[in-house]
Amino acid sequence: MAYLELKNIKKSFGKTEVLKGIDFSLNKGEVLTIIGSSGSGKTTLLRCINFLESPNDGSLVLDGETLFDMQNPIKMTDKEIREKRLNFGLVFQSFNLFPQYSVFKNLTLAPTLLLKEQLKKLKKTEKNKEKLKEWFNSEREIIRKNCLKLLEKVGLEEKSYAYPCELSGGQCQRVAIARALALNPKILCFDEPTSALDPELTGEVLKVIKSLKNKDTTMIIVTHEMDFAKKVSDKIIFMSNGVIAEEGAPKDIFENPKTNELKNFLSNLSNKDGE
Amino acid sequence: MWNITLNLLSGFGVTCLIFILTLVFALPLGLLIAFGGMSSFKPLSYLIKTIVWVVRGTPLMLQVMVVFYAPAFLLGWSGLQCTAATVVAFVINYACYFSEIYRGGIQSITKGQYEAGQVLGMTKSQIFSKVVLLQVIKRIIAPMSNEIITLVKDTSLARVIATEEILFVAFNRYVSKGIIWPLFYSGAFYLLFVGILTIIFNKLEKKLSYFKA
Repeated sequence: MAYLELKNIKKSFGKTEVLKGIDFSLNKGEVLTIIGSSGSGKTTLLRCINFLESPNDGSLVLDGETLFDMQNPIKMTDKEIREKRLNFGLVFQSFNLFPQYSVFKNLTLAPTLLLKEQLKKLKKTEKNKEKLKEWFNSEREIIRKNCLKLLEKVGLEEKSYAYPCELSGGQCQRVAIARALALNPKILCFDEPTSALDPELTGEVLKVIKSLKNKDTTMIIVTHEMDFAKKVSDKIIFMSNGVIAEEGAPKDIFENPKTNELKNFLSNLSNKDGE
Repeated sequence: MWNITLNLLSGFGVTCLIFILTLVFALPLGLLIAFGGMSSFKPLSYLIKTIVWVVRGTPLMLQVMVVFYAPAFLLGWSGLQCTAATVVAFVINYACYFSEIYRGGIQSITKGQYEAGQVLGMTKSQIFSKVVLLQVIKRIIAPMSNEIITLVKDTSLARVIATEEILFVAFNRYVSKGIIWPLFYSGAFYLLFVGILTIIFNKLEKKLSYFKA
């Protein structure tokens, strides 16, 4: 069984059916990119996976655990949704860094809050306050070290104490990637990570994403950068009008498109200079 | 001269008391009203919106009179002492104005900030307190300082029910007896007070200028 399995995901906003039954599966360590013209439902799909939208139908199984199944819907508490959500990380098109915190605090904030919650829970059972404090401090140190390492990984260790308004768009997006990684998600999702960037800044972000690719990191990337998709993906999904029109290896998609939709999409891309 | 200063000072003490008590109660109450007005529970949000409409739609002076006289006339209660009645009316009135400022500030924060908090596993209250709040504060400093400066001067409306604030003292003890200059003197107290507040707000604004939101 695949690592991630989505079945028959449907989502409507009012009368508009945005997703009309999406099925796909993904193995651990694979990179999946989702391409398609705007309005085809790519972002909505990603938001359903991250529990930012709740689908009208369908199921999602990750690592053998059913995270949701709209056929047998169970009422989830906020806490359960939060726990399930933490399986995924999401990098937004518009970064959404917290402007009032330094780069470093942007990374440490969420893990530290989770640690504090854990501490609160432990306080109820553990009597030894000293030991608890020691444990908390050492855990917090681990978070700090991990976050520093992540900043190094995205090449921004020197910007640890800068504020988001002092960074370029590309640097902001690299921070956002590190922030998502700080919670160690099983699957990292990107929603058009370079669409809000100037062309000369997209390279540095794509390079970072590419550097994350290894056998343990599973990623889903919605992008308009076709060259990048070609190079980084193990698998590509082409979406059109709320369905998966075509899926396959990068080579099949780009060199051997079968459907007319994909053929049109690709030829429109190559003609974007207006020639 | 010394005597007049002392008398005006005691009036100014009442002015400050009204000012401080109004802020202490109206600032948090305004936030509650703002949340109520934004609630997805429609009856609550309509109720709140109606209250805000009535309170903002009628003169503060009228509200002070109602709070002071209505309990005695309508219910036969002994009613509130004049300073207390003033504070009650001011708290209700200012909480409604503050709530609109809060609402504007809260709704101006982009959805992305909430969603970023959500995907990072934060609870709703953590998102509000750790992510949104400081950004809201930064955005509402200017309208808030406006409103708070207005409050300083609105305290003078309390004289309509004979609350002995500074303007009441200046008018009833001196102007009515033909001495005009304490009126200007009391004006200086207001000016000084507002001057200090302006400095405080500027400092606060500067302190939050390290980030853009």
